[in-house]
Amino acid sequence: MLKLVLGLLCSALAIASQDAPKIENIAQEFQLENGMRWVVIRKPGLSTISAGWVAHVGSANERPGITGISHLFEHMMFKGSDKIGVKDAAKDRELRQKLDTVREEMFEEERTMRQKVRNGYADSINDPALESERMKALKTQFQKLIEEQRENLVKDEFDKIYTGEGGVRMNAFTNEDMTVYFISVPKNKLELWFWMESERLSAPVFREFYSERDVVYEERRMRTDSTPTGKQEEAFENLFWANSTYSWPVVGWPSDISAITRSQAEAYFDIFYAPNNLTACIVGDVTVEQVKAFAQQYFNRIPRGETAPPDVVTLPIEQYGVKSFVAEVDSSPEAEIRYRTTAFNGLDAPALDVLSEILSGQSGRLNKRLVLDDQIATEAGARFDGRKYDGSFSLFATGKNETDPAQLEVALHEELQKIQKDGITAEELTRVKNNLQGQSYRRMANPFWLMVSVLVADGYTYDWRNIDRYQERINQVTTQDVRRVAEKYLVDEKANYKRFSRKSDSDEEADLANLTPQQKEMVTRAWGQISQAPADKLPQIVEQIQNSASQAPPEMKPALDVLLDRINAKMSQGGAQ
Amino acid sequence: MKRLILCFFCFASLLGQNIPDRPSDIQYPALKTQIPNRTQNMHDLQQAKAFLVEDHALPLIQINLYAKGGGYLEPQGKEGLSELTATMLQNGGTESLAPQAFQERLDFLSTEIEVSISDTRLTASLNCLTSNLDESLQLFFDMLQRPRLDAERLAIEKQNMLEQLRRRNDDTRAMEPRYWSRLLYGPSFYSNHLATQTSIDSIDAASIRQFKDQILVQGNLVLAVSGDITPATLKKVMKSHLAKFAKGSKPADPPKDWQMADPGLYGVQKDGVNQTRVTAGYLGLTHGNPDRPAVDVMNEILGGGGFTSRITSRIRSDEGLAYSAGSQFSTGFDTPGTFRIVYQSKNESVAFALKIALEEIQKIRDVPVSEEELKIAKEGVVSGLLPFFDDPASTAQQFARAYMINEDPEYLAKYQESVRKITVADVQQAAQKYLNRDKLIILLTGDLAGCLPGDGNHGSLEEVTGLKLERLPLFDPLTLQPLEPTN
Repeated sequence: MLKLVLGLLCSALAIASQDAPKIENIAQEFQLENGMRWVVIRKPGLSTISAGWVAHVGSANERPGITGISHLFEHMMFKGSDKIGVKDAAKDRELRQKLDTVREEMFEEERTMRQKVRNGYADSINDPALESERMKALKTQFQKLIEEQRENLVKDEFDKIYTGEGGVRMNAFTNEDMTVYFISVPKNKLELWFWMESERLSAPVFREFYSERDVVYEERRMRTDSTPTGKQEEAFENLFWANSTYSWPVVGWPSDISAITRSQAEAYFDIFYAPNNLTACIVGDVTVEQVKAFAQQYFNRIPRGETAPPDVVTLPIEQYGVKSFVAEVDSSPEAEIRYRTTAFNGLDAPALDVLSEILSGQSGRLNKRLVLDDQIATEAGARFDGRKYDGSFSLFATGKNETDPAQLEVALHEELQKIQKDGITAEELTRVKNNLQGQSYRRMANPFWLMVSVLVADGYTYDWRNIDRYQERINQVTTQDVRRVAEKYLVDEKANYKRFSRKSDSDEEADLANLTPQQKEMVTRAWGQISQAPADKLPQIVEQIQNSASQAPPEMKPALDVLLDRINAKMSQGGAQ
Repeated sequence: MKRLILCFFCFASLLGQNIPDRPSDIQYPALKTQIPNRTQNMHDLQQAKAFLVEDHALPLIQINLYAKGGGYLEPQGKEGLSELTATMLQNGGTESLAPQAFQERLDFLSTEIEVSISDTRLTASLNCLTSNLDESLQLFFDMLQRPRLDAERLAIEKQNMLEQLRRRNDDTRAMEPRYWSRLLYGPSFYSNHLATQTSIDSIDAASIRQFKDQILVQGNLVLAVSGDITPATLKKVMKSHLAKFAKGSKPADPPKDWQMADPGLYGVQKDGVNQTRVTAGYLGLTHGNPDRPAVDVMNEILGGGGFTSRITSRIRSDEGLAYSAGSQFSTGFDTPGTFRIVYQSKNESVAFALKIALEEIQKIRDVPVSEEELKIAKEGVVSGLLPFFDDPASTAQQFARAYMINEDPEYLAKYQESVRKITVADVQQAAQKYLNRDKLIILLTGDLAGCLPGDGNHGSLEEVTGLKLERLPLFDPLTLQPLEPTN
């Protein structure tokens, strides 16, 4: 036994004594006069360059009325410039002007329509019955202009140029705190990347500004509306984040997405897409000198923003009581307990991260308790979600079909209390640290994901080096730290509970409503087999059930009755055919 | 200071004049890329062939072990056995370590181990730090050769699998592929032999052991290795482990008795969704088909090339009818691949989007594509391979999989060459040979009643397709017995 323990300690040391891998050791940074920062990571031998940039803006920088504008922007950034995406730039400008004018008038009409919705005359602002004659005429006029604009477009030219030169994986994402754009190009096409990215940042044109909303609505339908829990998750987020600018979804409230005007969009661009609010990262077989020369040639033409991006000033309010969100979903039962914590780079972030690791995964405490011991869940875990301005900590579980979400809640809560009372073991802590250390190597293995990681770290903290520092801080976390943060942040009086239970689905199941979970289970199992039996065997089965009913324990009687009713129904159906 | 800044801007604007007017004016340095050579990376380890791509930049090693065999070998009545086997190998412990202890040891070492079994192939993967290679390999091969298949854990995993089954009808994203596979290959084809409560109940540790022993035999194993390891070390560390696999014969080839459904318009109802998923297509190419380069370029133009391609451009950017819309034309080895058009759209615009997709299929058959489209598409197809070969793990895995299907080692190089030679006429020929709107199997998963009438301007669903909607039943998630089709 002693030998085994020594063995464990040795290999613990073996990993801990290795220096944490540092991105800083392979990266170089410089800044242009206009404030734009550049990170270059040289990886000799690669045939492609992974390149991207982050705009330090996300949905947290929005306000009610323009929610979703950051994400809409992400879509607009692929529409081109005066040179890209259009046949006749002057005509394009003229048409955009006309479109704006008509749209302004439509906004005025919508003001009345919106009030009618509020007053209960219709469910949606899109109800055609709300449209005045004026609105109908404007819509026709608007549609005509859109078609004229489309005639003048070179469709998706931005994409075509990249693809034609071998660019792949071009995409972007928006979250609450940042918007990140990226692509891979063959290594001899570095200059193309500079041409294209500086073009769309220096002279963007928000073409198809209005029709692109329809794509965003489809994205919303796909990600939120038409998934089993999307709408309910959104509602819980909204409840949890209360006064924070994290309280609306990244995709925006549906009402706001269609109401955003071009002048709002242009003002937003001027502030948040100014070079002083951007960081770029390039990974590949390039030198920092090459990158610097191109950066100066192409990006110096973009002036520093006139207004510095405003800070998000709203700080969290104290939560004076417990909040609960209860909903039915088209899915398995779920429970979550969530607490406000600290930001991504917060003092206690590493300890909260370690805590979440100790609770999560196959060897984590929550899996052991809820999935393996109590067997009430199919998965269970915890998450520290540190963001730029705030953070949260969640314990969550997905239950088995018959599990009451309240049961999940009790078990999650008990496991948390154990840590608050007794702390964690040194062995658990070493395991988590070792594991995270290994992950920090894996993060550097793929050039594309390395580029994205650098941009994301910069997006959260304005300094990508915090990736390296974070691992060092993780290595300094003690068992006492973990217990301390569990006590400090995860307090009962400030808990937020999410409880999802399965919508009672089909009529067929309605007959189970009054049964106990054990009885339900019995019916479901037996019915699974009986329903596969050929029709001529059914009378025989009925007989068997009736015979066994007399010997069965009385509490199973209601279950057998349900089964008999179902078989009878099935037999009468069969007779009718 | 002010003057200095002014000066700086003069300088900047001077530099600005150095910016070419259009991207086509940029002069690029020459680039010679070469697809790495499979044969040079192959090593004979006696009991298995290994493909190694070295990369010593980081102290990490990735090993994938592949074996032929999978779902098609499940005995009748034991559907779900391959999935449960993979889960139990990974989570069921080893002779020397109980499940929880095994997992804790892996985390302690920061070693990642995963097992998956598809319809036709087992994959076991290991990722570890160089310093932990020996112990990680011991754990990996203990898992494959001496699994505990812990009884208590098996009961739990079976219960959890039943819970997964119960969720079968919850989400259209999960429903669509099941119905699609059923239409494409037929309900009696092995891909569509799905687990039921009864079949899971019947699986025990003995059946799992027998199943994995049938697949994990010497001579049926191929390794893909990448990272911080040399061929000499690889040979040394693998030798004793590989020798412990039993000798046996490779499993038989998977059956080829698929049966595609008749062309038509099929729908499966999901209540309460405001967006419906659409897939339209039929069986595609079999590996080795000489038309593949032309078909790939054709598909890149039709709907495979993102925003650059026609279906995406019209359905998404012109009309705003979908967030993602496009087409795929895949090549299969054990089965033919598939051609499919895929999109999701709000219920009322499903018909209009389908109308556009059908028009585009017709158009690429009838009208030659432009030289410019051809050039972009060819570059898209060829360049798509590049980042892949910048990743040692992907390269090694590609080599191993290609070897398993006896692909010519020069295949990709030849493929690239053929793609570069494709002409406008080749594209049209491929379209005429492989695209036929009358043969489409069209599957809708979502709110059918909401889709049928269309948007009021572009025709109803049945008008657009000229077909009558055939409603497919929902299946009881546990028994897979059909429930009544709903309206």
